[in-house]
Amino acid sequence: MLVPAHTSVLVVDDSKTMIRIVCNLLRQIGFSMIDEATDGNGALDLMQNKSYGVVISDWNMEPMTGLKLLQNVRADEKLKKTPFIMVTAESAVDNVIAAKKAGVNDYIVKPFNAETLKSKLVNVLGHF
Amino acid sequence: MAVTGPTNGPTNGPTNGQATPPGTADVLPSIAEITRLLDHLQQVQDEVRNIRPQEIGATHIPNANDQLGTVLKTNETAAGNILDSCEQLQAIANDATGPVRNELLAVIAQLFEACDFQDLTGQRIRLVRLSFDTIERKIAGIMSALGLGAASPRKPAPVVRQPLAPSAGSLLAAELERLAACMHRIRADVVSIGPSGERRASLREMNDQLLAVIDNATSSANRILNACEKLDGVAKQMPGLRGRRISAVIARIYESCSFQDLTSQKVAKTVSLLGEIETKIDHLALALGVHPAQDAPPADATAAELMEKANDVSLLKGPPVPGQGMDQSEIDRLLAQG
Repeated sequence: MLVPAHTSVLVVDDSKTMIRIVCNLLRQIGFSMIDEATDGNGALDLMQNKSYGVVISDWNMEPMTGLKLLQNVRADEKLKKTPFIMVTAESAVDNVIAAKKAGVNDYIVKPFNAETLKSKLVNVLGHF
Repeated sequence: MAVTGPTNGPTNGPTNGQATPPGTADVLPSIAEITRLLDHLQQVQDEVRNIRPQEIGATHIPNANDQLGTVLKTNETAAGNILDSCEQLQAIANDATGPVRNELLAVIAQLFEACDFQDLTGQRIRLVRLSFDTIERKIAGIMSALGLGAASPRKPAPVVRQPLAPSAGSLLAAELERLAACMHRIRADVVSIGPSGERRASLREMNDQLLAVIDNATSSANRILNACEKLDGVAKQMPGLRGRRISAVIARIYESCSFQDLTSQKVAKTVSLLGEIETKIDHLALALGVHPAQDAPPADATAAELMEKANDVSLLKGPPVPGQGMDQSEIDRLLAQG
């Protein structure tokens, strides 16, 4: 059983508001080791220097989108097994298929609530 | 008045019975055709000038962008203030114990969730602004091609005035083709923002996105106010300093909820400006003779084409308007399929 307090989480979103929302919800769930990045490049830099238990990323970011970040993570031998949850307002079927094809572990559509976030983390990390 | 391309049928030459100079007869049909095209163009210019489509780029779109800019700023400030308040409440909750603590944490989670309006509003407004840019660019292109742009002369692109010579026929034919191609481009631009196709879809999409901004703001404000009412109940259970601190936080959150009213007002003004833009484009299309049949929207991309675009930002469509897109349970089912 994973203890959230011992799992590092990387939250990637170009909206500072969303970062605050997700980080606070994560703290409420019990996570305390939380890092933030505002785009895919920043996230990759952090991931090269630290191992994360899960990445929670927005899709719609510039210059590197969440999908591109996911593809880069899956293409990197060192990072490719990192669980990846996409959190996005993009809810068209082609978006979900593209994310699935790229190797996403779970997909949360905005707006979402704490319960959805927790259930997806349980799906990806196991019960806690 | 419709703009038409060159005709293929016979054209009128001189009818006064006078003999034409050698080498001239073969160019007369072309001269007549160019004259007819220029007459049409002149009439179209006059009609378009009266419609004043340049006002779309000069007045309507900047005004709409100002309104939307204010909405973005207001929403960002409101979300920031509410999140600050949540963090203050979180500190109070950390010191509390028992059922009151749990109740407080549940309300804080509701407030956090409700703050997503800022992100969604930002994405929707970004889409609308991109569409504004497209319309502005195309209108400027049409005006320039018609010789009505700010830096362009009032007259249409001039016909090359060459002395008649044995090669004059081919020169005029080339000029005729150039004029016809110019007309074709103008019409294609209008088709792309025309009455029932891409432009209509785009304006309708913009309208829907803006209405969704109002809905989001109203829904979020209601969720926040509901949470505040619960918070008030918690404050009453926590006498003393902590109760007073919670009451102060509630007051700050109430103040922040004014974002909803301002958002609705500003977006309603933008929707109204959108209506004015639509009217001008309708008139422009009529003046240029664009018919609904020529204005069909592009065919839907196939699944294979969509997958080819998987690496492309063209997949980014922003938040769906109500009734479109999949909900969380549909997405879960799709992901669970092998």
